[in-house]
Amino acid sequence: MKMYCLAALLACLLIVTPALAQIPADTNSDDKLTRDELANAILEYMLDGGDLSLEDLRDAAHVYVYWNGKPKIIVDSDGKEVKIFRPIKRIVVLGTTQAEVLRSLNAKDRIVGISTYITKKPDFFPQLKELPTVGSGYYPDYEAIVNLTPDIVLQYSGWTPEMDEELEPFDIKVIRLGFKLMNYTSEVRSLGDILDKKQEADRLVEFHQSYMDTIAAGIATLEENEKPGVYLEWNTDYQTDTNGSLHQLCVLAGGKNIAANLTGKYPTVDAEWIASENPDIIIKFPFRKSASHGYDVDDASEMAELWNSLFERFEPYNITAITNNDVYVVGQEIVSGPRALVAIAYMAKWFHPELFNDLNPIEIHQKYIEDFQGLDYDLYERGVFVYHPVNNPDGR
Amino acid sequence: MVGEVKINMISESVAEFRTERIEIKEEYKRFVGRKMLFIFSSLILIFVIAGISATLGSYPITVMEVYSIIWHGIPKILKNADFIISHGVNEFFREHFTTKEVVVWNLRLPRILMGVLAGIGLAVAGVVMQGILRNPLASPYTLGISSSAGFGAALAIIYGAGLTWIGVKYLVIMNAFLFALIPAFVIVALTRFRGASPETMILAGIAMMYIFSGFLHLMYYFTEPDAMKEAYFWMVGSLGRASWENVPLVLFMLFLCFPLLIWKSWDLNVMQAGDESAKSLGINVERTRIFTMMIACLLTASIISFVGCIGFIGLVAPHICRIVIGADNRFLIPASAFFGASFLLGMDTIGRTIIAPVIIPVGVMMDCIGGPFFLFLLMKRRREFW
Repeated sequence: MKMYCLAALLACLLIVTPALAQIPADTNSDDKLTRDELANAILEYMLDGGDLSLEDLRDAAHVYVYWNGKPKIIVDSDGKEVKIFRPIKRIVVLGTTQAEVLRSLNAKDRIVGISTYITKKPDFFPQLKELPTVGSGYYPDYEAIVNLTPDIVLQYSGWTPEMDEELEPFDIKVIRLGFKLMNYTSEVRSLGDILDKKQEADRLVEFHQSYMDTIAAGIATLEENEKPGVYLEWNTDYQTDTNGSLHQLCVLAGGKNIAANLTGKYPTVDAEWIASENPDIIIKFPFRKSASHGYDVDDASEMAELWNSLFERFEPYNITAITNNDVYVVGQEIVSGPRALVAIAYMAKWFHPELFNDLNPIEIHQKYIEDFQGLDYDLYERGVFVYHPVNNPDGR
Repeated sequence: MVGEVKINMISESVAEFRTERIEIKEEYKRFVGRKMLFIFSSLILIFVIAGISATLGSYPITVMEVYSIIWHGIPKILKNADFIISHGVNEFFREHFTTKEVVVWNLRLPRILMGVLAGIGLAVAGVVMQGILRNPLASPYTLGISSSAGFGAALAIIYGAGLTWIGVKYLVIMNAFLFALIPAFVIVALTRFRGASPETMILAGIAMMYIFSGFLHLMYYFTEPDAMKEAYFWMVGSLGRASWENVPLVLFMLFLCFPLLIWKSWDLNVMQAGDESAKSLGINVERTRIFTMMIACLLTASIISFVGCIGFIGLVAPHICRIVIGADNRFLIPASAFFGASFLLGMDTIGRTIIAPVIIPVGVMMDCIGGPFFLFLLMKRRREFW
């Protein structure tokens, strides 16, 4: 005890100003909080207050017990290493996808600020929309962010490169996570790790992976020539996708993208080329604004209208997709981010009905929004996400 | 008798001539006084707007606190100059400043300073370009500088994507700067073979504008929309990227270019009368034109590589000043500089506070508010300026 007191006194003399970018109580700043350092800090606090607040001590104890006394490191989607020195309690989230994942990880209580992208989706984020906003994700108001004193800001990959530097003096870390389908599970795990939500992350990954595995196993039984040729179209007419997210959905659902060998990522093609390629299936992916869809939409009429115009556009050509009535509309609400799984399930079912007879996209979707998102929409009753006049006339 | 009358008449006419000369001189002095008054009040206006701008923002700090933070921050910074040099400015802010102080010193002041510097630089570049090309349409935008810089930036954003973001950031600035100089070099090269007539220069500039915006659109077909979006946001122009790292660089460029342009302002005045008259007065027209053009391009390039394309200020600030004080470049250059600075800063202040926390970039504000304001002035004007 005496030795501890002496050490505390010594430490007292050594400390000048605690730099913020380190573990609290890590007096020698070697990014390793030892037993002695923590004990000294606690004693010091008990004796005369010291430089650390009770919260600092709590964080230090947390780091010592749960993080082995070392800072956590996350590598974000841009390859940037971010060191986290204390438990993350306050988060400003700029993208909708990150907000969705935070909710899946049961960390939505830590969100203290949002961007206007989230307020624009009140049906999907009914609880979050009341939180203070910090402007749009592309021109965030840094003062508003600072005012909320977050530990980290979650941003889309590659956006607002200047933000790191602007927020650095405030000791606010910027982490950019895209949660693209290919990196989804690994990024969920990394985020779960720094938030101390490992179990939740495992559960989410398992949910996602189990369905992906089921679909992949089904597709593995197919010969290459059994896969249908698919023409994918973005919101803009004739704009297709060669290796972007639509291409990935198509491949994962067991289709062959007819545009896969074209140059450019999202090139514009002409009707003649599509007719000559003779796709077995045509799918269009509209914005919410172009054809109303989402959780609070009950009426699939706008999606049906879009379907009709799409069908009429290709009707004059002698295309297999038209003769077999294999033309579909998938709303962009379920195309990017974690819910792409739902889109893949729908597409797999359309591409290979005999193979995926038991697969129920509504069930997957319902489970996800109920168990992970905590929303109480009954998707068997309402919501519009896809459209086909025979298979999905209600929009589900 | 007759002789006396003659002498009287002569002395009368001499006296008349003298009074006339004095009157003209006085009128000129009054006119100069009016110009000086305009320049001086524009300068005051910068301080007024900056003073107001510093107190506005989403972080709750009272007006008095802001001024006290600025006042007390200066000695603090001077005292810790060694620390700032050895550890960097961010580390200094973290160690020695409270959050409120950092908000003012790291978020508000660099943005205000960058607004003032960018306003001065772009407006001056605009005046000079209009002067040497004798064309009211000349501006960094119409000479292709903005679109070539935009293309350079997009190139770095899209093909530098493999680097980390910090690396890309510098690459974007460098590339924008280098590409912004291309129109200047092309114009100079062209004038070597075809003679530096204003028409050739401006047509070459417009051709460059089309070429680079063509390239930019071409790139759109082969790249990810996400990266393109970043490039697009760069093109719009915003003061959001201002920091203590880039403000001194812009300041340095301004200190370098501004005196050179003022020095050449008298030559520019003479050149307004036409190339022949200027040549007969002993001015090397071609050389002056190329020299001032290069300086103006350099100035523009170094500014827009940090703030993006804020195009309109280079066109509108000189014209508004011309309406008020006339076309004498010796006065017009400083007047446009100060007026441009206060105008740009004012627009940015409105843009970042009007629907806070949603920030409207200054490039957009400039076009949406500055444009109609300029039209209004054009309709109200009483005489021709060109």
